[in-house]
Amino acid sequence: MSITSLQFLYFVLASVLLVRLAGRFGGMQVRGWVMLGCNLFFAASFVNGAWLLLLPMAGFALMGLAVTHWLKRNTTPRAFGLAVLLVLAVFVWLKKYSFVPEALWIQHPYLVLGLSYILFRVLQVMIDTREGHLTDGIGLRDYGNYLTSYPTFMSGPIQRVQDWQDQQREPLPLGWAMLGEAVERMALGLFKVAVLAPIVLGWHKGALKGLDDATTLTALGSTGALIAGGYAVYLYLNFSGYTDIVVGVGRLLGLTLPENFNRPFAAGSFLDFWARWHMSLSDWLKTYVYNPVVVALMRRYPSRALEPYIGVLAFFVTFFLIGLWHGQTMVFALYGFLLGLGVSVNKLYQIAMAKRLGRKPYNELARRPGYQAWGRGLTFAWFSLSLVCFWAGWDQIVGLCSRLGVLGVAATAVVLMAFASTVFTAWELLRQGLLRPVRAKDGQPWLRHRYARTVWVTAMVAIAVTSLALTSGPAPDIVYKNF
Amino acid sequence: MRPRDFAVIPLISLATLGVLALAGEGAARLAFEEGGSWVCQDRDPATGARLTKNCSARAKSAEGPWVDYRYNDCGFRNPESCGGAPAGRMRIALLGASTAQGYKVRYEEGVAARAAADLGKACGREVEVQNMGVPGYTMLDSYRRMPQALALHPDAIVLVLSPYELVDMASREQLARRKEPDARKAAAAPTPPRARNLIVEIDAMVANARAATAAQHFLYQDRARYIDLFMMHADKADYLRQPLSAKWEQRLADVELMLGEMVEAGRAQNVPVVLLFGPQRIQAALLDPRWRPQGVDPEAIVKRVSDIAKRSGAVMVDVLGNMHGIAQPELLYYPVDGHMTGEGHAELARALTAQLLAQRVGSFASCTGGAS
Repeated sequence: MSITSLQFLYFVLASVLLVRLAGRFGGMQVRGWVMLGCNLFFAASFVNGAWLLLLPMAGFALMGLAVTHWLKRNTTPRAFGLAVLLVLAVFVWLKKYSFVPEALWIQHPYLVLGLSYILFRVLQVMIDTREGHLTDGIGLRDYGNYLTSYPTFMSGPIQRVQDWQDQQREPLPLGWAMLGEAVERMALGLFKVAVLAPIVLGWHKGALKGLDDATTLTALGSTGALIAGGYAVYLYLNFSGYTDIVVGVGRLLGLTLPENFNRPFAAGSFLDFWARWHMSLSDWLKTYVYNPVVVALMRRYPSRALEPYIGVLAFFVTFFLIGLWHGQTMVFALYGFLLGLGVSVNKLYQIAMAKRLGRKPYNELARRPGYQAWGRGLTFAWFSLSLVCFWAGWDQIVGLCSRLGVLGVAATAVVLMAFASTVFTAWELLRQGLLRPVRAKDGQPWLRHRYARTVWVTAMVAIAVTSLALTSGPAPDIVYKNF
Repeated sequence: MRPRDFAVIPLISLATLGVLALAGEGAARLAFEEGGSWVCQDRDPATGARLTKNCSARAKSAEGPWVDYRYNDCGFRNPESCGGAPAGRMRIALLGASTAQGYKVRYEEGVAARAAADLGKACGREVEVQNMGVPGYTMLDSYRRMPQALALHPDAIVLVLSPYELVDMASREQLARRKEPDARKAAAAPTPPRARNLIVEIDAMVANARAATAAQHFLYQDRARYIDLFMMHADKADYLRQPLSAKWEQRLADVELMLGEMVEAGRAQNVPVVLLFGPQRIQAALLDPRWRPQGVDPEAIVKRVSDIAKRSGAVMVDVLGNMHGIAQPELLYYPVDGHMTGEGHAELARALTAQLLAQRVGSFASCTGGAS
């Protein structure tokens, strides 16, 4: 079931009604079972009645539950390490990572939709059980609901199990304001996914086709920038649009799902970028990879002088893993390497500048608009170029590099930097101007007034629906659905 | 939310939709401009309508370019006079409806001009095409103009026909009196203007909304959606469904009757008759078997018409068959309007020229060059 389809809309309306009614008249227990039914129905919609296709994923989830119960009795670090390794090994096997011999793969087709996100949830339950955060434990129904919660099933956002449990106990009431906010988020998401993302994807694809016609360095640079930068913007629109839709659906169900994006292209540095892009993933990895790595290394090398560099190394490891998580082939190792390189060089630069200028003057420098714009350009260029490993295979990467040449790649980077420095900075200034409060009475910017929002929502829905009808097909699928 | 918001917010939504609709219509009117008028039309005693002699008009439809329509001293859409052809020049009389006329296509891009140029090159001498096509004509109307075509002393008469022109071809009574002028058409009074009221105005506004044309234009570019929508028609699409309906069998019988008589009339003056069967957009879209719904065959009607032509002694030109090598043949048509574009007319001309030369039709037997 595509989340931009009418079927999904009907399903959301029906499930919200059922879950809300169950919560009101049957209590939390009944609500939980009804929610589980909706979640399983949603998962089943991807296999068209071929239930066997779900078996490996179900087995993986049940294995996670069994391991969690085993960890309650075996609390040693060794047992925990073994359990994590087991879960990761099964995940790698089911996802058919290229380094796993083909002879070991399950030869029958099966569904792995959202498996990467289920991995996070399984690990989350194991870790929090071990660390005693789940004081009441987690039963089969709640575990099933947490793993398959349909708004976050396909592509997150990744929610901590304690937060999820709290919201199950006390779902938010559905008032008019909440309803309005939910509809607004869903409309914005639909507009991004169905209207803006296909337009930008069209530019990206057009540039890919037009690369052969580019002969001058300027043409190579601008075409290369449209290819690399176009995909970065497309991915943002596609994924943040999806997140907007599911956050809106979550509100209707009484849940506050974590945000995944916070204007990432406004980031003035690569580190800042990752605090704004796919936030639930980077937060998770910071908590469960970065922090433990830093703590472990600090224990082993307890030196104040080494502390910043240990942070750099931990950043590299964390972001290398983020890259690896995205795919099964070696090209994603390169992606992880480039992400890791970006954050660690950025961190080293911050350390060096703080040492040279002093922390306070450096922070003042980093806040200057010109410096921010420059950082924005550099960040976007590095991210867009790294992201090529995300959407292209080895052959295509080699083809692009040989077509562009060293000078072409350099020209591409320059165009990307110039574009992001000017356009994203101008957008931020415009945004600040438009959202400046002009109504002294309630201090609310006129663009955020409920009447103005009604206009935007109506327009976005009308344009998205017309666009979907005219293009006579569903909107492009959610990119992260395949993870 | 304040209590008044329960009324204000829906009203704002409606107003937004209204503004968007108006903006959409405005944008569509800019992108799909229409203008000019087809003023060169007279009453004709035989067929009800004909094109005005020595008249010119300039018009643009939503999907097509600006087009100059210039008619010669007989009301035919070609620059050459309909008087006697200069010595050494070969002449073709082209009968048919809008496709023959080159409706929504610049003269030089239409089948008439293209075929004249191609044949001229192949024959090494001047070839003119007296374009007698009139938009809205049925096969019966073309049949009634056969004497006028023969009076031009052409080297060949080409009848351009498409399935669309067969749908409302003729009633049984009209067919029985086919050799007489159509009294009802000739005497038909102009349609009285409809009484103006709000409903009529809104109805007309929606029907004429350019935004609707723009929407259809994009909608019909999707092959699957276009096929689904077209196949919702009953009789209009029945010629695609096999076996043919009784109505379509009757229409084919009528075609055989009239074509046979046209060929006979031509034979009496030693003028060969050629049937150029132009496919509709839906046939082009269905050419790839993977896209065909069960029981649908776009080429079946062509085979039937081809058999009729053979039995009647006319030369058949199958254009659809030539489209097999084209990746998206439906792009040769305007999506909403359904008429062929200039590129579509190039296909018509190519097929016609090739067949006239290959079949060594009449005076064209002496031509030895290849068509472009």
